[in-house]
Amino acid sequence: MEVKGVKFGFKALLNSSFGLLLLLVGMWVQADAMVPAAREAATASKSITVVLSGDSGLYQRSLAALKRHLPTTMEVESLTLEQIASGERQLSANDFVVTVGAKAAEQVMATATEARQLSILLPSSTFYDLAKQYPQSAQRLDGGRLSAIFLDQPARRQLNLARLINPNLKAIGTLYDIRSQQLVQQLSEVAGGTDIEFRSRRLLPSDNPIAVLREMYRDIDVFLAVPGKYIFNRSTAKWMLYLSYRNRKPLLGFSEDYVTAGALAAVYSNPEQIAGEAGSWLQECLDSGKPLPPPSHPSIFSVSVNREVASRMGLGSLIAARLESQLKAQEQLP
Amino acid sequence: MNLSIRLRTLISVMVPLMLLGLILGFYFISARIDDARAEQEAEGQRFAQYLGAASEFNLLSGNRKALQDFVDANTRVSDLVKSMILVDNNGQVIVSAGDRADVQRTLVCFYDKAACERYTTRMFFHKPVVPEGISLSENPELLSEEDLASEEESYGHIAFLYDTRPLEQLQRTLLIDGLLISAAAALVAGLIALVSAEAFARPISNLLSVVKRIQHGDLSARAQMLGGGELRQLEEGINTMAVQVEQANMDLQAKVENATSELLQTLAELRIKNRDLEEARNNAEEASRVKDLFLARMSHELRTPLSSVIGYLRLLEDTEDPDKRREYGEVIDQASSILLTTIDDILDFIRLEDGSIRLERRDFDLHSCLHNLVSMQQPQAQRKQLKMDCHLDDSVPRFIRGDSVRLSQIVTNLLSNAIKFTEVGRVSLTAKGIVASANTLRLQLKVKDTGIGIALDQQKQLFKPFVQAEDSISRRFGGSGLGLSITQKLAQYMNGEVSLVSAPDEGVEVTVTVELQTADSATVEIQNTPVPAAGLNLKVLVVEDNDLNRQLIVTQLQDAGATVEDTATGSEALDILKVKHFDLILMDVHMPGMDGIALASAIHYLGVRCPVYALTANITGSEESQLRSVGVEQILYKPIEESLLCEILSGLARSGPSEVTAPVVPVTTLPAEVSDSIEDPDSDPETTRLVLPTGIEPEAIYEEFHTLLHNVLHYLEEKRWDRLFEDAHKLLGSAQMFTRGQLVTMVLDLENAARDQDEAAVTSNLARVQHELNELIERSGPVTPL
Repeated sequence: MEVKGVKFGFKALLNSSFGLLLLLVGMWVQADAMVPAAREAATASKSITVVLSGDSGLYQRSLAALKRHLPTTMEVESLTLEQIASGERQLSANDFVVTVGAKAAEQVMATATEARQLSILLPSSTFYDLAKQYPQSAQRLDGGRLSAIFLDQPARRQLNLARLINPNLKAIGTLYDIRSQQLVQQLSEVAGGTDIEFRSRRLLPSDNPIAVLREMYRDIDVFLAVPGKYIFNRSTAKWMLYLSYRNRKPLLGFSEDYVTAGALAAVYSNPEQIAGEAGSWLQECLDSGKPLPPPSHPSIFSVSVNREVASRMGLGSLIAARLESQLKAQEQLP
Repeated sequence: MNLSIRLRTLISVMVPLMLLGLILGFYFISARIDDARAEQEAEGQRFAQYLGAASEFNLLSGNRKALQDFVDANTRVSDLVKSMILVDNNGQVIVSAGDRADVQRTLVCFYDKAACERYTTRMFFHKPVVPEGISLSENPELLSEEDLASEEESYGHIAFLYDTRPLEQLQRTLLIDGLLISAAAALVAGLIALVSAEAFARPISNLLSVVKRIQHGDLSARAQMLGGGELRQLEEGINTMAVQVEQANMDLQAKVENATSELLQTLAELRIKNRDLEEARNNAEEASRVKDLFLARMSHELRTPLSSVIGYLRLLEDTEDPDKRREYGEVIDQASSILLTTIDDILDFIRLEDGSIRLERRDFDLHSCLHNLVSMQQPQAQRKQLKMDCHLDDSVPRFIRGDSVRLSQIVTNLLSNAIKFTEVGRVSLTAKGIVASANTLRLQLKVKDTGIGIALDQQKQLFKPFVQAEDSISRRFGGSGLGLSITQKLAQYMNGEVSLVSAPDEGVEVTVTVELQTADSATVEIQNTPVPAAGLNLKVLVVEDNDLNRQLIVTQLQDAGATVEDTATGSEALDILKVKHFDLILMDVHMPGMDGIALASAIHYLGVRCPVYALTANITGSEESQLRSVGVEQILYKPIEESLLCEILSGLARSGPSEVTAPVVPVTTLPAEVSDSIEDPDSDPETTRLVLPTGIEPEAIYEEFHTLLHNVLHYLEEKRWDRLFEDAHKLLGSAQMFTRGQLVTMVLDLENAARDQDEAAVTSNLARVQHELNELIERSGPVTPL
């Protein structure tokens, strides 16, 4: 931008004022035109690399959702586990890697790369187990170069849902194994801050799950199912649902499919929601150059209710959308 | 293999059908048995699946009591389930139900399936109890593959035994049912095959039967229309062929029958001809025999009067006594009359036989005729002192139209016979008229005598010619034996008949019936005027090459009152006829140059309307036919009786020339003057004697004979047979005209020999004739001998 000669006097003042005005207008126009161009220039130099854990539709849906939430100018490079493992694609410190699923996260961690890594669509327990497994992960976590958006929901959100379903909730219980031990720990901690009694029982392979469940159902109002290796497989889940109906005590699942299978309700984040949230994170980091936020549960979620089960249990007034909005309100989320 | 088409068809249809039925039956039985077993196995599997699903929760929860209740209940619920056990994953029996032995068998099968094979009445089922889970999340991050693999682990095993006896029972039932159905199918197949074979073989058998029948000649055999399609076409074809064969056979048979019929007809005709020939031969032999007999008899009959004549003539020569001479003369006259009568009979019979007699149709007075006939026989009756009477019934008209001469001949024959064979008593004539129609009258004449009579067996012979009742009669009474034959023939000519009633010694009654025409009495009165005036004003042309003959005929005609013109040749006659008209032409048949046949033909060609009568001494049958064909109305035989000429002329005068009905030629009656002209009555009857008509000198006759004989001799030397025959014929005519005796016979033989061109016969007969003529001339006096 350039300013040419100035004349004094009224006429000169008038002329000078008019000229100043034109100058200001010209500068404003010039400045307005330069802002998006600078932003585009800042992002145009960035690219991300996405590593999927597999070719299943779940991962492809996540990739597609991620692309939708990124600027069109951002380059998205998709790599397979084999390309990473074989060294065909060497990750550098300048790379920004998004891993989708536990296997991708582990594979990238295993390369001991210095690239920034955002892992999505994996349980929180898995992420922390991997972080423990690979020592440089702690440093990367601290440096904001490793982060994650978990698949599972935070303990408070699930307890809030249980309270919303049964406002008279006094005791809530769950069975867990080693894989969900951390989650149960969080639940216990959250519940400890409330008047809700939290009962949990770690299930061993030698245990009769039906017998444990029968005993558990005697003391709780709501059963909260958590992912696990032994107890929450599909056959145990079937008899768990059977006992829930039989004892008329709501069972809260951890996925939409669980609700469809017979759970009363569930709060969950689907891959699109998690990928969308990850896109926001990426754009923020790339635009600002800030480090990645610390790992966290997804802030975007959904609630589902099985209307048949709710009706049979005398909870026909439950509405998924209302529960979802109530949960968001409690967490002060938009 | 020589199998019938029925059997072939049966086999070809039944075997595949039965095989198919058996194969299908076996297949479906086997399939159904297998299906029953598979179904039971599937049912068992489904039951095991159900048991596993039903026991899953209790197995998971380890509720042994509930499991025991469960297996007890399911063991009881079905008779098929004999035992049931639930075993955990470690192989320990959790609960069991059923008979102990079956539980033990179940355990054996569970641990060692191969050992289970020995339990033939049991079926073992086993199923691990694998829980069926639900889908909690499709997110692999929540449920790993390890988690999913762990779901395949079973909670335990359920095993049970099925009782297979119901299955075996069912299989047996299926087998029996299947076999029954197969048997029924085979039976149906057999029936179908039988029906098919019958349907196919029956038309062919029918065709075969028809063909065999046709082969054995039954061409009427036809095939029934039993088949369809090609078989029907075949049946129709065979029927068409059979029709054609039958038609052809019928045609052939018809031809054979026709030929056979013609052959039979020919054979029949041949038989008839043979019979006729045999009959003819017999007749000929009989005729020959009769002829021989007749000749012998005639010889006797002729010789007898002739001998009398000759003998009495000699006596006459030897006596000068006028009484004796008169007596002898009477005897000679009587004998001559007998002789003449005999000859007349013979000639009459011959003419009747050859049909040359034509009846005259002329009105006459029947009453007078019959009375005269009786009167004529009166002298003979009086000599035998017989009474004669004549009775005419009122029904007999006086005038009648017919042939009075022939009627007189019939009556005379009967009366003379009656007189001849009656010695005592009477002879009567009775006449009766029967009106047959308006113009026809049947006249019945009865001649009855009281003579010797005739035996019944001999009566039939009487009407045969030359036959008399017996030879003794002939010897006793004489006669030719022709009288009744002539009478019968004449009666037949008049559409009549003759019958005879007689018995030995009781006389004879002969009845003759003849048919006559009624006549106008007024006309008859006129017609019965004397004959001599009949020929007046009639012009007659005589054509005769022989001068003497011509002269004789001319004289006779002129005596009868006719105007006569004569000529010697046919050509001259034609010239005359071209310029003149005649009422009658009398011509000789055999003339030199134009003979009688040619002349008659020319006359006919000229269109001359005038009756032509032929004169001949002797003619053949062919000559007679030729004469008839060229318009000759009558043939007159020489010598011509003067009375006959008078009758002919009177007939012409009454009826006109074109309507003349010539009388039968009675050539046998000599003219009255001839009898009177016998020069030597004492000579042998066979001796030739001259007959001299008025106005003809004997020398002229001898000259004529001489000339003709000379010509014959001359032509014999030159072998000119035609001319020889002509002159021989002329000689015969002259002999017949002017001589009596054996000369005529000799000349006749000569003429026959000339016709036959038999030189030897001509020579010998010529010599005989010359000798006889010389004898005649010598006997006649001073005439130059030949």
